Amino acid sequence: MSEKRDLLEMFKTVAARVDKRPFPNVTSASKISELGIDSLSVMQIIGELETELGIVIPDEDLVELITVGDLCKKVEARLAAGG
Amino acid sequence: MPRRVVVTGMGVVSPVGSDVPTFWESLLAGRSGVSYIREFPTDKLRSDIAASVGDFDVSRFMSPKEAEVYGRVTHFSLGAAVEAVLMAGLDKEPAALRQRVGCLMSTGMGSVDIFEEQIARSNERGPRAVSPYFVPGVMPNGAAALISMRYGFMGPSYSLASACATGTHSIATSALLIEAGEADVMIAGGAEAATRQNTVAGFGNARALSKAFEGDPTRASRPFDKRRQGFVMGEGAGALVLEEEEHAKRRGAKPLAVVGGFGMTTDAEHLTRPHPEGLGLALALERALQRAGIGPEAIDYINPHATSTPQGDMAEILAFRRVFGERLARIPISATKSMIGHLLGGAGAAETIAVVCSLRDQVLHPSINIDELDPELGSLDVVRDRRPAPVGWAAKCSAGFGGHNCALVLGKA
Repeated sequence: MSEKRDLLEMFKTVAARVDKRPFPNVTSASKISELGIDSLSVMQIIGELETELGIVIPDEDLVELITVGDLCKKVEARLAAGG
Repeated sequence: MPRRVVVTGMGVVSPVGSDVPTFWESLLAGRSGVSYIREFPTDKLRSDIAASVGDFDVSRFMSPKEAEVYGRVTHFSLGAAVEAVLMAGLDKEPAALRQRVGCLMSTGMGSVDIFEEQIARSNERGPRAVSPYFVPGVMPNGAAALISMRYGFMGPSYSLASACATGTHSIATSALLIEAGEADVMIAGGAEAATRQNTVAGFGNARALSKAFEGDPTRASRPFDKRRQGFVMGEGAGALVLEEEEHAKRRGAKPLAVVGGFGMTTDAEHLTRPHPEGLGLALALERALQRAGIGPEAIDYINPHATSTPQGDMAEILAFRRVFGERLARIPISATKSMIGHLLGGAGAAETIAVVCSLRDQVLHPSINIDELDPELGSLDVVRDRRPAPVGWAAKCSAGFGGHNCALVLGKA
């Protein structure tokens, strides 16, 4: 299982916990704005990922997030950079 | 001719029932909602009792996500408002009418639970872990916003705070808005859900709380009794639909009572202690009578603030004596707090609902736990058992930390 796949699964788990409903059909290509998640909930998901993984995603990285895959890539980059 | 305000809906969440019929039946039966606190350790606290809401199912009113975002006080506020809105039939009214419906649903202390939870989270996991919903979740106007969104009410909406007079001030201010033509209908009330370890500690350390009386929590809230020691923390919400009389008539809504007048004053003397002679409260009551266009002789029932503190009850009776003179001894009086404890920001609203029920049904609920009426208070007609009584006009008084006083005069519809 690739690192990327792990992060996608993690996103789905955290999103389900934050928004109190399952996200079974989310893929890397899914647009975050089309998931029906409130913008505050998106920030809550990012905060959960940050604290769970011990990383900090800088605000400038958040501007370019379109898809779930984009978010996973940013998380991956931060993990590779050691936080 | 001034616009007259009537009550066309009511909703309640309380320690003795979370809908108006159950609440009213419990009050008439003299049932106490006070028990030992089980939600958190109490061994180091000065009091270990409270009146808690046991039968409230938040999933009836909001999604799991909303229930997480909003504090328990907002859960209660919405629950009470939904019952009131349905009773008034506002859910069936067109969008155009709803543009002139407002909401003043307040709280004295706000979402204490969310504050505690998020601060603990930050301490444990760092500030990045604080929820983005923290601020909208704790803002005291959250309930007014949520209720307005739920029903598309586009009139004025906000919250106000005057500690234990919050609910009453919200009703008075809503009536003022309707009289002034700023809204045709207002959802008005207050709520509280602040029974947490640190708030019980705070009130307890201020020596304001009562303990179980002779080992019995249900006997702890005992307004006007010689051996009263303090108040019992309660939780819950009260919401009333206030409506301009002609507006109510046009849409066939049944008036349950008339909001005759209101008075709002301030002791301007001490942060927590009431004026020793109840001067501010007396002035509020006089103003309410004046606005209602009646004299003190017209009042048939008093629902007092009556927290069961030695000083507070005394000051309030002195205020009543100033307004009613010797006739006070013959005016039936009963303290709702003797059964539901002190709902703080929700108290005035829940208690006003009891008054509206009395005006509607022409029956008074008892004041429980008076083993010996405090002789220092002088002669009083405290209602001991449910009592049928002709009630044309009733007075409801509230006073809050800060010296805030609010009195309402309500009439039979």
